[in-house]
Amino acid sequence: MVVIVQGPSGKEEKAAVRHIDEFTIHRFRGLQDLKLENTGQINLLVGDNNAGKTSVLEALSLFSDPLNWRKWSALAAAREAGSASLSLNERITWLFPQIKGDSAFSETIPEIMLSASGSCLVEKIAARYEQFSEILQISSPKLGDGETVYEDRDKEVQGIRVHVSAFLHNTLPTLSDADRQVQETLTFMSGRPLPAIRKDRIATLPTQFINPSSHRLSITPSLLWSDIVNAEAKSGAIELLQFFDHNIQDVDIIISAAERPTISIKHARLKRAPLSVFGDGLRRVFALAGAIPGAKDGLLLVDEVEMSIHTRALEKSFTWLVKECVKNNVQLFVTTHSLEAVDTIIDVCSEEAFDLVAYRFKHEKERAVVTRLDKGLLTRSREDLGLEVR
Amino acid sequence: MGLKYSILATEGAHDQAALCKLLRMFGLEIFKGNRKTLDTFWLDIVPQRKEDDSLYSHNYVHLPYFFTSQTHSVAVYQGRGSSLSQNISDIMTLYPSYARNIHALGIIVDADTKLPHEVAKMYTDKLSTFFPGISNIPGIITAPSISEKLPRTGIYVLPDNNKKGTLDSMLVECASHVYPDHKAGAEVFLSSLDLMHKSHWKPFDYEKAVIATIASVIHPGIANTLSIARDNWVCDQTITTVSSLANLYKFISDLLELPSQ
Repeated sequence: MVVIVQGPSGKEEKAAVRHIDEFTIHRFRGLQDLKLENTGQINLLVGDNNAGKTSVLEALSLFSDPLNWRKWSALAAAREAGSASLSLNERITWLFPQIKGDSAFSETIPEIMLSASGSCLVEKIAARYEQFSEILQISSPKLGDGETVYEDRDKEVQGIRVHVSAFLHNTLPTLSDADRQVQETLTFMSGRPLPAIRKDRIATLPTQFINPSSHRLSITPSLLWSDIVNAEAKSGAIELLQFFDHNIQDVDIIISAAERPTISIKHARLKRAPLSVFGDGLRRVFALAGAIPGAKDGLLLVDEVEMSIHTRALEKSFTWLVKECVKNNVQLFVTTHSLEAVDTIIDVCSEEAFDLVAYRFKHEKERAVVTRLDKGLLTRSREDLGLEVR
Repeated sequence: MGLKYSILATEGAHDQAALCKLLRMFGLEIFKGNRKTLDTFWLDIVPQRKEDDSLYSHNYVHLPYFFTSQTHSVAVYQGRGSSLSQNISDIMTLYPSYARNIHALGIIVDADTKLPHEVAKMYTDKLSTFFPGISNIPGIITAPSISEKLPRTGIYVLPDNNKKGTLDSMLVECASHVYPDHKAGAEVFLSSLDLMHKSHWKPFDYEKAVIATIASVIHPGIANTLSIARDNWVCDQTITTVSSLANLYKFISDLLELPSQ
């Protein structure tokens, strides 16, 4: 389906139908009653530090697959990458609004609630949690008379149950209100394996979330490259990598007996070298390239899109990113603090008549408020007025 | 009590220069340009340069001038001619807090192609969303009650809120009082030129040419804008003798609630 929209020049432009047309964060982390209206295919989130831009990406990610414990666990852990100072329980609870008695949030309900319109299946999700403790029997080894004996002891373990309800859009006349609601209880408990994902859960909106440290995590590159190869997007991805290092000739996954699969780059000068020895910029675009296939017909969420990419490489990288999103029917949401990144995305979207919207976040009276800038206003603000839109 | 922050918006550099001169006459001091010392209230409307493909493209950078006193902080903003209403609308959309937090907004524009009331209506149509109550009668100041928490607003259409004209029409009248010899000479020179040299002139270009001729005698090589900001076009004498300038002076004084010097 194609929607015709009026461009800034007055010309009609074609825009793909949105997976998310409007997204409301009723309650999530520190955000309350925040609405992204009339989203574009390319969406820029800009504004103050700590105003909630990353939380919006997290909320979108959660909304896309709300009954998946992996999603909850990954989101809760994402901000703690490399420094797990909080327990799993604590991380999960911080996804919920926190009650502060003496602030504007004094009426806050400790419940997550998100809703959206668009072609996505889910209309609304609500989640609440309860903490509990359980006595587990732990067997620990103990040295006896020359042999190891195991001693059982009881240990109290804290856990958290998240009760999630997803309400589907009423697209089928035969769907009753009860049919529209899908419920799941997700139990998280330190030391206990996480449960299997139920197979009868609702269809999800394909979503990939690239955070500022994604490109440094050693586990993901080989998975990402497999996705690229499966999507037959290898040549385009290699071409992008060659912009960062023209000596790159090919990319393969190497699996040795003892090691985890690693990405091996065939290089004119280095012969073969693991991806991890290359610079951050190259690894960052590798992560972006790898995320596209997994976000096909869904959402790509990129926190700090300019991260590690030199300003001279922004145009090439963003041109590629935006075109791939359009080609793969991906709705892109990116945060940035970089004016160069904003200007480059405006340029890319202007030249190709792509549908662009920006949302500017600002703290006002302890609450994040958002202003929507359509493509015309955004372009005029930068190109005619030179205004600070971040 | 905090400063009263106000915006005076104009269409072009000449109008901006004249307003700057007027504000100095009210005892306000011009901000010298060190970004680090600029009142943070104004940071959002200071342009941030955009990397441009054309090395010589500076056409979008129109910097506001800022003036301060113990009680007031005023931004003199220059839009780009007919884009001014759109530019103000864009700024208020982008930074809604300005429309809520400024003390006053004044629009000072020319009536070069339309009658003053038509010009004022064009601006109120565009800006009443942000400034409800802004009057479409030129020269009228709207002063909402304190409980309404809205800025004072007004539109002044040059030269005098009644007839067609521009700032230059007013300045030529000023020249009659402060530069009478220069003005007489400029008029003789311009009228002596063959019509073929003036065939491309638009309405009110004659007045601009008079000012340019006078300015180039006072300070050879100087631009009109600099001369308007520096010389005696707007001064104590012309404020008392040129009625349209006196009206503008009173309008600024009433709108911003500035005590006359």
